[in-house]
Amino acid sequence: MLITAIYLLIRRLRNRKNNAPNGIHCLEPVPVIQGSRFKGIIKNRFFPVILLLAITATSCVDDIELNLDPEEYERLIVHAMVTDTGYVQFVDLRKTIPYDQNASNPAATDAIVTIEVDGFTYQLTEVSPGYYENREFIGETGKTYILNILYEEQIYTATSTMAEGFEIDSIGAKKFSLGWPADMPHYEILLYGQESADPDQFYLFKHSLNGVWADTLYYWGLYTDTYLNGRYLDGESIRIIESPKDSIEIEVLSMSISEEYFWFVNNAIMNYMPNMFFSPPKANVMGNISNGAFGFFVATSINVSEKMVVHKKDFGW
Amino acid sequence: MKSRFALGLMMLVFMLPCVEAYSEQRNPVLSGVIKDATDGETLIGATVYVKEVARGSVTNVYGFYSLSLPKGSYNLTISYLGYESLEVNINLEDNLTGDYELVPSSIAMEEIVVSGRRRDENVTETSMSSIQLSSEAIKKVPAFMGEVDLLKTIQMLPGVQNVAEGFSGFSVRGGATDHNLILLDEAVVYNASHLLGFFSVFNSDAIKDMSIHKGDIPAQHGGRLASLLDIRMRDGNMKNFAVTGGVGSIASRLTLEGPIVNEKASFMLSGRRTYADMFLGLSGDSLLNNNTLYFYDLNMKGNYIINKNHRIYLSGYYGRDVFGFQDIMDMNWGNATQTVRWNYIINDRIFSNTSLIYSDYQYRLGFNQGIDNYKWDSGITDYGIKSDFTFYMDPDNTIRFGGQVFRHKFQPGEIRITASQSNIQIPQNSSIEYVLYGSNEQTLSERLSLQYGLRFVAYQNMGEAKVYDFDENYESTGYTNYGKGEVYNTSAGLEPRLSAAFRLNQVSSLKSSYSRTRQYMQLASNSSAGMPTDVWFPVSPNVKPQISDQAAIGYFRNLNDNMFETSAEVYYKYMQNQIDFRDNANIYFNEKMEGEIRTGMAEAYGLEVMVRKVEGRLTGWVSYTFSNARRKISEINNNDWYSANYDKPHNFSLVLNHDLGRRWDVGLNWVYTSGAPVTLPTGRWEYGGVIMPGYSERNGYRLPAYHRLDLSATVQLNRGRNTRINHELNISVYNAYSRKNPFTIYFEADEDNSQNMGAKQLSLFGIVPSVTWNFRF
Repeated sequence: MLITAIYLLIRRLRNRKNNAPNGIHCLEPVPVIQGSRFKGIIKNRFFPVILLLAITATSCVDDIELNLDPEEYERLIVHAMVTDTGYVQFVDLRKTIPYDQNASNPAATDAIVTIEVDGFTYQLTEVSPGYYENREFIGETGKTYILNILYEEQIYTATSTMAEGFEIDSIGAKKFSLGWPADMPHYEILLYGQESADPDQFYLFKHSLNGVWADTLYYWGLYTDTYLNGRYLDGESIRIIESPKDSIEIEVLSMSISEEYFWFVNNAIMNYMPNMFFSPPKANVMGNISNGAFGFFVATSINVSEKMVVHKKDFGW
Repeated sequence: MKSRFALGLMMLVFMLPCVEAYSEQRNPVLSGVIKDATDGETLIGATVYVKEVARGSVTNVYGFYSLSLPKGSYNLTISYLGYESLEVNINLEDNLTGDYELVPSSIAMEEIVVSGRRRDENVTETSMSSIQLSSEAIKKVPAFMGEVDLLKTIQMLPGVQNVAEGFSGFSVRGGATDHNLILLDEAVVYNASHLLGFFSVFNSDAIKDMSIHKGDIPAQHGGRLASLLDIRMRDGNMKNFAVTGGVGSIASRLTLEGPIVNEKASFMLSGRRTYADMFLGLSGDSLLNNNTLYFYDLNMKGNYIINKNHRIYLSGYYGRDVFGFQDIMDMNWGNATQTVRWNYIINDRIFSNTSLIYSDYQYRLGFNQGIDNYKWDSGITDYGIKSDFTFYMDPDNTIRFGGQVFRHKFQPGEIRITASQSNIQIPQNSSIEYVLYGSNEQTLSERLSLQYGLRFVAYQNMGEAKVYDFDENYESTGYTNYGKGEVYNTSAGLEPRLSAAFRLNQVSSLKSSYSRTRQYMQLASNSSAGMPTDVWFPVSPNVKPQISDQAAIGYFRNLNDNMFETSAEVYYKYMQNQIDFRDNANIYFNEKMEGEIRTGMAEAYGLEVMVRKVEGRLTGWVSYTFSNARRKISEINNNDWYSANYDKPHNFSLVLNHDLGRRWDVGLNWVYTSGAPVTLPTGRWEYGGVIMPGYSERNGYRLPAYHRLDLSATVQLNRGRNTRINHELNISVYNAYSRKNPFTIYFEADEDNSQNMGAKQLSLFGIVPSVTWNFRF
């Protein structure tokens, strides 16, 4: 994986085809786990870059036709979330398709979906094909939620407990020099806030640029306090992005997540990366949904930072 | 347990006087050392043959031989492939020391590709499934980027598979890469790769000889399931000061050797460094310059002949890979080994060697950006002592016995975070390995010979340690802290070894073997090829020793007065307690890593056919292997059997070298293997805006077949001239017809349509030419 990943990184950096919202050029995704970055870094794309630079002089990539067997069975895909920020709790249900079928996953309609908490059961209504929601309750920290899905005579369940959230004091930005390409300055988005004194807390951070959330898997940042518990995050790096042409408005949100979800997202990022001799054996990324379904049910406490505007001239670019 | 080992060691000590007493009552003994006449290097595997009794002896790894004979006059023939045979008449009335020197055959020196050591060894030797290659032989094989690589060469032998294009890692008969015991002057080399695996740590100029045992591993060796790769460094020229070196496309090397005290003491010092990073620095591309990537290694050896019965060797290796990417991260890793050996010829029948051994592998990873600057250190260190005795009881029995004690210190990981000045450490742990072994090589008749032995290993985990307990669902249920020096787990077992050879006639034989091997430490690696960051870990209360039982049978025949050696072997191997990791395991910096382990069984079988031409202007070999290797591990692949990562059923190799005349010789390799197994997705789903693969079977597909042609030509630049300096130019072409061999297959979304995932094949190397200038004076 490393070699291929580096190869792709180099190609993309040179081609500059990876455009983020509002014309911001974002770096190729790097699965860095903030706070425990050492876990991610050993698999990240910087690792053997120079070696691969040399190798790319003789290497090449070709399209190849594969005779892949269609998946022998269809699986349910569940994307479900309970939050403490509003009264909309949702469950999105889809179905898997053969890998070489270039289409979106079809919606799983007509399912019966409920969420249980404190002895109450809330029914979710299908408001669009495969998308179910409920506006009768709001999530609370410390409570355990049980998801039940009845779909095509199969029962799927999942449980999630909402962990204490991470209060963001403020966010910042700092000039960041990758050193390459020389004409592409960068800065990193920084986060400030007190992490809980309770051990084994896990968080997921997302950011928005000019009001558009970079809500793609590989823009997410993961954090665990497993090795450094209860410290003040005094400028934790959330993301490294290319310097704006003029100015840009940034926003960051934090989500409290379970350890299970932490590894689910981490594994999803790693699986997204190409198959390689250095990579772990390829395997399905399984979440907390029973009966072999893909996806995850997460109960999360969400905090959003104040908006911050970054000017290019602030960093002397 | 300790008292049992003390008893065993005492028995060993008490055996010696008995053996000595026995020695004094028997026939007189002819013993000595066989050396190269030009540089005084001892010759491993030279034959001393006595025509009158049709018996002989073979020199051991220190060049020593011993042969007891009735009193009388004899004609000896001392021979070694590539050297002029020596005829000697002796009158043996009492014990006699016969040290002899053989002169290299000037013609043969240039032609031999595969050294069989003695001309009929292929047929006469009792053991099987082993191949020896001399340094000269390895240097003749066309090399990737001109860098002669021992590990790449052995990948072209039957039964040995490479892990990936261009990589030094190898799999033997379906085993994993950590199933290979790699010894450099008896010290374990834990990571034999430079540059993430593209080059091996062995500098061919410093190597005298190597042998690989794919099964039927001698009883004095063990600790790995699949193979023994035994590499010996050059001792150093005893007669003249010599300089050898080379300037290549990617690295340069220099070796100095010579006598310290003439014919008594010598030294060898050999160094190598790559310089690709220097060229990168010249690049105007900011992505290329200001980075670091190189490796270097240093081999050192000295030896001193105290008197005819005592000789001391000091040898060491130190190598490092250094990698830095801008100011963002840096990494270095490498091995260090040291061996002190004492050869003691107790009497004319008993040869002993005692070694003090140190082996170390460390890596450091540093990340220098952001607020969480950190340094990550990890490694393994061994200290040990071993004593080996060879008792040449009579011409029909050679008994070997000995013991060893090793301490292994594991450092799974320590992270120092600069900003917070704090350390995070996965607790270190250590273990002690005790070994006793004995074996006998016995000639029962002119046709039948046996080699049988038994190896006993006890492996003890010692505190200070923190050991987690796991339930049947691999969930941690708590842990126990053990104090310093406290033994908290003992694993022990016997490893029988047996082989038999039946001479059908002067030129052919049937051989068979059975061996059990046990492995008490393994590599925590979640990848096929292995990474420098992989961590060794021992057996424990949660991890049982891996066990392998292998049986093989073979037919061996030499043709044209031993000019051609042919062999066909069939083997079956069954492995227990095989280790894999659960899907999406977290094995890095995980205190509870043992909870990620899943165990099961594996089996491998195959047919290996080889024809070697070892004399003449045209030399080389052609080999074909048919094999199958599969695994069945709990929770993996729905608990069904799946192909092992290195399962490539068909493997064909052609290696040729041709001396064209006075100045030129040319070489050729052609290899063909079935494609490696690969896991490809069958279904797809979307999460977080990304298309995720859905898999149904581990290693259910295969990459396209692999084949490649390498060519080389070497021209002697001063052949025939009367000059002290000899030099040559070697031109190599790797992948001569630029075959696009698949390194991997991956999927990438179309730039215009993110839903449209296309399969891509990455081929690492096209045609790669290289030029190397070698010199010697």
